[in-house]
Amino acid sequence: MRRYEADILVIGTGGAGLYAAIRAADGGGRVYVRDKGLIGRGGSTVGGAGVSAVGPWSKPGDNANVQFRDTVIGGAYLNDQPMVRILVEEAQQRIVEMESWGLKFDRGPDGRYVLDQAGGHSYPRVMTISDRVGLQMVKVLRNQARLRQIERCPDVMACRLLIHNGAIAGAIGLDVGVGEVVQVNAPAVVLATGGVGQLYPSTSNPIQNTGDGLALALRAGARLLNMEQVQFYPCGLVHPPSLRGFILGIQEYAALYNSEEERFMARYEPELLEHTTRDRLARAIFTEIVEGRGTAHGGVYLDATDVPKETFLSFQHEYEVARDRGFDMQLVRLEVAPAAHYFMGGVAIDISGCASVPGLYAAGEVSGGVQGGNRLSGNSLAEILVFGARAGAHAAGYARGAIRPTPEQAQAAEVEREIRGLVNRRNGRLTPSQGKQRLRRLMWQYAGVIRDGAGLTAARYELIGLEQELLPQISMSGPSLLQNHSLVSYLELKNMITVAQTIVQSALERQESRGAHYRQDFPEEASTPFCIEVTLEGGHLRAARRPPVMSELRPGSGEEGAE
Amino acid sequence: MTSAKTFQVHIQRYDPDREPPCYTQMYQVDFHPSMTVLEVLELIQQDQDSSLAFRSSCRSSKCGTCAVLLNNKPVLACREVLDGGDITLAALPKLPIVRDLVVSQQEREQRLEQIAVEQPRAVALPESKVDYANVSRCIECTICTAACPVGYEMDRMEPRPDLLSSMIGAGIPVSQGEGVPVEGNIDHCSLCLCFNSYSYTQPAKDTVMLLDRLGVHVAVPQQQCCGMPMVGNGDLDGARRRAEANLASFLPWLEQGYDVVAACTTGSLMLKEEYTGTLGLRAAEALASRAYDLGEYLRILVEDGLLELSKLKPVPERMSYHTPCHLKAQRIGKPFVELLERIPGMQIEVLDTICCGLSGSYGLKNEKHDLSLAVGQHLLDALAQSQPDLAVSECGPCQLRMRRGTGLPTKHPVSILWQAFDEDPLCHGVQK
Ligand SMILES: Cc1cc2nc3c(=O)[nH]c(=O)nc-3n(C[C@H](O)[C@H](O)[C@H](O)COP(=O)(O)OP(=O)(O)OC[C@H]3O[C@@H](n4cnc5c(N)ncnc54)[C@H](O)[C@@H]3O)c2cc1C
Ligand code: SF4
Ligand code: SF4
Ligand code: FES
Repeated sequence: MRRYEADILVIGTGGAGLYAAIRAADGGGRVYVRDKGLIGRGGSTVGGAGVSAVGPWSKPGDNANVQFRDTVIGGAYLNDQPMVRILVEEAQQRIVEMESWGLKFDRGPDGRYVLDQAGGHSYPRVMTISDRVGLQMVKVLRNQARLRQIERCPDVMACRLLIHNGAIAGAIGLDVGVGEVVQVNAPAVVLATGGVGQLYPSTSNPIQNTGDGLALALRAGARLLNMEQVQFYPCGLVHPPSLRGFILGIQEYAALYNSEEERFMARYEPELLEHTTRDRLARAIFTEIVEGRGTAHGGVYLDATDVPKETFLSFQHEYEVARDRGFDMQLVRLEVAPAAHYFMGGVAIDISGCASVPGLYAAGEVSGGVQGGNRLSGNSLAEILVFGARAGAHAAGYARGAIRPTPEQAQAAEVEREIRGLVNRRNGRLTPSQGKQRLRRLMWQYAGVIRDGAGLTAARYELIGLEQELLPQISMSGPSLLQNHSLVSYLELKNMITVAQTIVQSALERQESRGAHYRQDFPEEASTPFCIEVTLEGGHLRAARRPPVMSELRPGSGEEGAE
Repeated sequence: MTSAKTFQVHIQRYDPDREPPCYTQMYQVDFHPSMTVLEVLELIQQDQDSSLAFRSSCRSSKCGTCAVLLNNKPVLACREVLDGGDITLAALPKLPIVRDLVVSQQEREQRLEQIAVEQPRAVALPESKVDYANVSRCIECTICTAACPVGYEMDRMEPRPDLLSSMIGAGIPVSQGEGVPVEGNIDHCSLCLCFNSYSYTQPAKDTVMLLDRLGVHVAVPQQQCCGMPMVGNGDLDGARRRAEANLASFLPWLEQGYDVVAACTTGSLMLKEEYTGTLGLRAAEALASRAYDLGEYLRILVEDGLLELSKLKPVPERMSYHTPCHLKAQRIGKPFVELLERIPGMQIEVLDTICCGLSGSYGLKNEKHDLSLAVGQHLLDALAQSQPDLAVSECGPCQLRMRRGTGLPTKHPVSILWQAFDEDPLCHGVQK
């Protein structure tokens, strides 16, 4: 087993992880960056529509206070308000910094920024780079990481956080690039592993978004926040299979039909039709499907054939990708259903990115608090910049003052033993991918767009079944660790089951409907908002309620604004 | 399932722990319309063989991690739709394979680290020159590097999109002038390319003189532009017309047993590979099999004892040599350097340079001038560093760039060889 010594270990290299690494390096620490895929090719890379920020460029009347209010109201008051304040104040600084590093936003003929209007924002404030803002951001951040010669290594999956005397001491990883178990000793670890979309059969998220960071943090003793808050994008393709989960922005202009040729939104929203909020649209589609009015592939029809050709110019990538596979939206209807898109819950952190375990940091989609119960468009790419930078800077400061932890040989040896034991399991009945499919079906059925107590309780038992009966049936492909994707996939599945359990636990505890969480048996919002924190205590999950930090805005005062 | 149409997927696998490490495995996969290469790989991994290793992430042509070779052509696995015919898949070339279809990006990443600059766009170009909307589409899949016939590592320039864009062809046809041939009636034939025929004729003359003195029968048949500028600008029909005219003119000589020698690396590459490859001219195969680059040909003559290099006198100038891209593409080494280095006392330094930036007609275009200069800047820097008396390259455009950029005199290596040869009366007697 190879061992490395670092001051700050960053796990995950989306926007949040890269920004954290850059700041940590500027803070003087020795930074190690690891990703289970290639560097900077994750959720941030596919983030397309834009990044929301107020600044000198904002429309008259728009400012940080307005964005604050939009974000908290959109988030159904589950947001941590001091964090939202920081988001809306600091996003512009990060944007300006990114521009100084070479990022270039779209500008109109007048030289001003193009600002898009998006749902939940009361002013147009989403800054764009065609349909690829995330891709460009990650390129720029990677360049900065290169400039600083930060130690970064792909193909390393973090498997376990090391704890010594109640504080972080580093992490153990599986390096499939060289085929070894590796240990990084570091007093500070930043988790930036992104979202959980892969827990669902249809998702916009890349394959790496399996919630690993959440499972690792939970096992290390950290608190997880509002785990029930999974955002579903209403229209993701269900067919062709190669594009399952691919989300369509053109939805905003298209009409939806069920298999009975009915424009069903007229029943749910007689006035707004498809122009209602995303969560309501998702629920309506989901209802049509479960009530038997779905299409052959389990969706509804999205009809964009009447959308003017010019409109498609803003959706170049999605149009081309579907057309290449023989689905030209200008000519044919597409089959769509809600796709898991964004995770508002996550590791509970403070404004500096500190989790509840000393030395543990989290930033980006893996962390919770900023987005509350619903994320507005563009707020996530802003969050990863702002809180990635904060977590990195604070971690560097912490590492400077921290006593170097004694290397944890025993825990590392245990992980290595577990892995070596696993890879020799050659005669199970299922491949890891087949195992993942089982989990996804279960999550879609019970913990998807619409939930209820009975289903969630059933899910809880079935998840125990998956953990105890399904996992041991899974076969590995061979003893070498070199690019052993079946092993990676198995470890992911294990994490996915753990995360699924926290989602279900939290969803059972939230006996109301709020944000993206909808309980058929409790369709109303409770009068006072509350957060749910899940922890692992003595091998058992525990869910507890606490009030959100509402330092500026309370329900009822929302419409007046935050003065 | 039984009624589904199936097809064969042959995967070139690699496992360093196995003996032999490289092997091909066949899988039978059920076909359905709209199926992509990535879907095939996922299905195999899920249902047939979980040991199969490949990369992917976004499944939607945005992350650039899934590139593989499909039937020898580099493609994005998640974007490439299949038609139900049998296929062969392999790892991308030019990068080290780790396992199966997974290649390592580490070396590339390290190189990029070495060239990383603080403010990417400002270094090379004024803002207005950058087609940012276009280059921002690059997803760094490295397919262009895999596909590039001359081994230019296009993505090596990332994240400097300004430079990247300069490598993307302009697509503007150049004017279609006809060639005025260098007439001659000697034997073994030489095709001297346009640059040598029209602009700077000295190398062509020196070539004929030298070959003649070595006892080679040189003929210079009627000829036109080889067609490379048209290929480079997307005018394949125009290129084909040129190629066919040249073929018609050269075939009679080939039948008499002549070889074809080009004093320009672009021309020799064109004759060897592009007439049959890009232009698909079957009739050009005979020509291709007998085509030589001048340096390559002279190296054979040396091996055959027609020319004794150790007896030649060095030229006094200190020389820096720049390797043309079209020479690298021929994978024949640097024959002229080998020859010149064997002349005692010759002072020649081989520069560690990539592309001169002119890239055929590209850099000659007004609107591409700045981009082209930026690409070639490293060459000018290298010359400034080594301060030779003479800049040498067998490519006309490369010489042009060096001459204009530094004010140094430039020469084709054949002229140096001729000079060394001509100055030594002892050698004049070497005859066939
Ligand atoms: C299709 C799509 C479109 C979107 N569009 C927008 C938009 O327009 N505007 C907006 O604001 N937001 C958008 N989002 C959301 C936004 O892109 C993401 O929330 C955000 O980029 C997440 O960034 P991150 O750095 O937290 O995580 P990611 O960018 O997902 O990075 C996580 C990284 O961690 C790595 N990793 C995971 N587990 C491990 C492990 N165990 N060990 C090592 N490495 C690990 C992964 O490989 C990955 O590289 C979109 C999301 C999607 C999927
Ligand atoms: S320019 Fe090259 S690396 Fe970029 S997307 Fe095109 S083929 Fe891929
Ligand atoms: S020679 Fe230049 S234009 Fe041609 S493929 Fe290579 S990089 Fe592209
Ligand atoms: S998987 Fe991302 S480009 Fe193919």
